[in-house]
Amino acid sequence: MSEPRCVPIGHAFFFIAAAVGKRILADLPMKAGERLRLLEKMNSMLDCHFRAEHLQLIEPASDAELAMVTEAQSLDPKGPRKPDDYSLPPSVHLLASSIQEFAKVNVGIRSVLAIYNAGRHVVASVH
Amino acid sequence: MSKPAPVPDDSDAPPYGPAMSRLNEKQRKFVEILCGPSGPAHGSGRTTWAAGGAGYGKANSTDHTLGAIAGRLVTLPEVRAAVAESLQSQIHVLAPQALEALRTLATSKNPQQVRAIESVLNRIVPPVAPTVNVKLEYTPPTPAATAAILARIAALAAQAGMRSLPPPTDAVDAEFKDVADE
Repeated sequence: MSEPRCVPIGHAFFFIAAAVGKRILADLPMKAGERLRLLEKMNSMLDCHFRAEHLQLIEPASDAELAMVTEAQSLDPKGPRKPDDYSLPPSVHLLASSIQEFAKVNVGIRSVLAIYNAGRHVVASVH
Repeated sequence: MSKPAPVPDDSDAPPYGPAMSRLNEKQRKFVEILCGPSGPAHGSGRTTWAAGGAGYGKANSTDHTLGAIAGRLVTLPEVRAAVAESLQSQIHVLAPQALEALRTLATSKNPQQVRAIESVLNRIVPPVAPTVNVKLEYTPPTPAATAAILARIAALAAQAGMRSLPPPTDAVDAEFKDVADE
């Protein structure tokens, strides 16, 4: 697979977040309210590029993917963030730049990356 | 014949409290002496001394005998209640002194003295913890609201490509059992 050409860092991170969210929804027992909050967060990631059909393709994260996410998050500073700190946590950069590693184990992420690389994710929109 | 001792006129004395009123005269005297300002310190024969002063025993009774009598007296619930009542009233008497001392101690740096006065005042006017009235109301969701939430979950899950999800856990994590109608 060729290197992604047009996957913004935020979208790459969303692919991984969606995979992790699906794994949590599928495996962790939770109350209806918690489930709704998680689904709403996943829904809020969608836009005119990362769309529902892409989200449907992504498979729940495997144990290997979860381990990668956990390792990446260990780089993040501990404790509450400063109110004026708008920088992205290091784990976001690391995970997004490692999207190809996730694509190797998650066929759904691989499919979405292919759509992005082909430019087929772009739809005409009127603002 | 010797002149009898004058009977003390206690018409001006304050009436006894309910606990003291329940005692007989000797017991009341015992409590008064025990809680009075004079006499040996507690632990140094004060109760024995109070029993003797209240007229218990005989003229030739030993301290051992009086001590035994005093020991029985202080175990009587009515006597203990009267002692508590007497001490409480004495603490109230100390209030003006404590307030005055507090005034003079406004610039004092002696923490022990301040704590002692504070302790006396706390007994007179117990510190009142601030009370906050919180009214909790729980309105269970209506069936329509519950159905709307579950429908939203189903729609979002379908949008994410998750057709089947495990059933949600109960909102209230508690054991329950059916009970028969009475």
